Amino acid sequence: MVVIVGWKSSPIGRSSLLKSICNLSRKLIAESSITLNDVNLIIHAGVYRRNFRTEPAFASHVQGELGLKCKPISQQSNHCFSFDVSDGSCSPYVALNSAKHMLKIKSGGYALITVGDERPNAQSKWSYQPISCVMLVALEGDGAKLKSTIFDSKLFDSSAVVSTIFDETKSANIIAEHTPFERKGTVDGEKFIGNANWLSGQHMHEFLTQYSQAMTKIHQINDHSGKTVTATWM
Amino acid sequence: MTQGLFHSKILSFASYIPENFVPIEEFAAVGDLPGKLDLHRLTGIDGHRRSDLAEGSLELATKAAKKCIHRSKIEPDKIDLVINCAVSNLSSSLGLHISPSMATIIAKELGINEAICFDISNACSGMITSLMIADSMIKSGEIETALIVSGENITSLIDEAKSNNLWLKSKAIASMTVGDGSAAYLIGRSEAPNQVIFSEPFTFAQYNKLCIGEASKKRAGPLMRTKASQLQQGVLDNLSEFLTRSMRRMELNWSEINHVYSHPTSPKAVDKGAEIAIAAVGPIMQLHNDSQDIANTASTSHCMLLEKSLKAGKLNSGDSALLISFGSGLAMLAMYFHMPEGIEQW
Repeated sequence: MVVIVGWKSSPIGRSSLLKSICNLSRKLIAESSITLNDVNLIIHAGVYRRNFRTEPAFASHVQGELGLKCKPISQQSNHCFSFDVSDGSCSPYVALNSAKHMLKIKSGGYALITVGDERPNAQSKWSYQPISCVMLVALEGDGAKLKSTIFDSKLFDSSAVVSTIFDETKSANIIAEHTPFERKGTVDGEKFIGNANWLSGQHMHEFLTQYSQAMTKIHQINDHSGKTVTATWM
Repeated sequence: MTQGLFHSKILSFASYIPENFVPIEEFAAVGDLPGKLDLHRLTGIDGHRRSDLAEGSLELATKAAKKCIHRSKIEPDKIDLVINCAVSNLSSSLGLHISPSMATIIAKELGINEAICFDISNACSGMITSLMIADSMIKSGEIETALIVSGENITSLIDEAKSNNLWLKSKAIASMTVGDGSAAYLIGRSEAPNQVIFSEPFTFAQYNKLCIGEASKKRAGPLMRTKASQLQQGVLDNLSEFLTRSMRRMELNWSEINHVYSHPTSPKAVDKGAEIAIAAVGPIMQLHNDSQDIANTASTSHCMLLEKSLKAGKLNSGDSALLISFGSGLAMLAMYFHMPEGIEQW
């Protein structure tokens, strides 16, 4: 079981995703009972990166910007491991589940999960106002405890897949037209269902805000492709 | 080592190595490059494989996955998890797949309907990173069988590099060392312990700006910009301590490992790493440094070399192997495993 021992979120606004994530991370750690050195793992969950960057992992940029354990290896040195996960808007729960396993491997520390997206380039159509969300995660402690997650691809619609296309008139790789899966956000009994048009960061921001006010413990994310994840929290 | 409720093992692996071999003289002849740079002499690469015009990352990945599933004799509906770890995720027309996970599309192509699907991105170390997570999920009892797959459609990077003035953009030259290919592993439960063991994984983020892959700003598809010698030095500077520390943590005896595969940025780079490895942990029983005709195929590279070893009859059931992985970031980790039973009949 993974526990969110602390979290913070904020609209990216005019900042870059990296600056937004790192500012939030520094504030979160400053307000927590741990130090940056206690973070052994960074997992970034998101879909859109500036200029459609594919390597290295965005998480390695977060690690570098935070100056976290950027030193040569020795036989006793303590290091961090950083990588990205992605599955549309369901990405945050892929990251939380991955953290559960990786924290057993990078034992004795915390994971920093960063969630967010940014407009890839000015030439792409972009209707989002992304929110960055960062979470400090451990295998035990006080906070929101993730009890279970159920991923479901039954409603996956391949026409809603997002990819890039080269636009000759703009001379740029841009986000291609696609058909989004329409489903509005709602509260269904105890279940908080996010809007299918939200990006990952907003999904976690909205849910964790509701959870903090003891309004819900079940979170369902509907990705624009029809994929869903339902998480039960304690 | 992390102990779980269950044990794991590699059930099968497979690579699809495109037949179309393009010799280095056709894309990086002496005279094409700045300062009469001889890329063959510098890297040891003879050429690369290029996928067919209709083959993108999805088609490449699916070919390797089908072969891998066939070798394992596992029914697709028994697969609980599919992770795609390609760096490229490019269609044959060089469109970048963005969302949802490419793993979802691959699983659908393979008739795997009930699996959890997601993508992991960790540059050339994505494959070993994905295997590490799948291994932990199996050992915890969360799942029984996972397919880790990647299709790298990356030789368009060479065309992009050549569209530039390489005198002015020398960081594009490393793009000449890539090749297309795909890889898949099936990992599942085992009766016996210690069939799969991982090193501690590291990211040395002080090197995170030395290799950048992103969309080209003036043509379809991606570009890659690399400070290759600095990145290689980052690997070499940390390799000795990494191997010593990993052998201790993994409780392995280096001299007893039958096969060693290092991420082949180039054959010459692997030679340099081997010298450091020998000085640090001793002689290597069998180093498979034969990427000269496939080049650097990113996340699929170890499996491409395994496939070559298999075809050459060098692998036997139960043999041990160590895959040493480096990826831009700079990620560094390793996986030890035993060859599946019956590999001689593949």
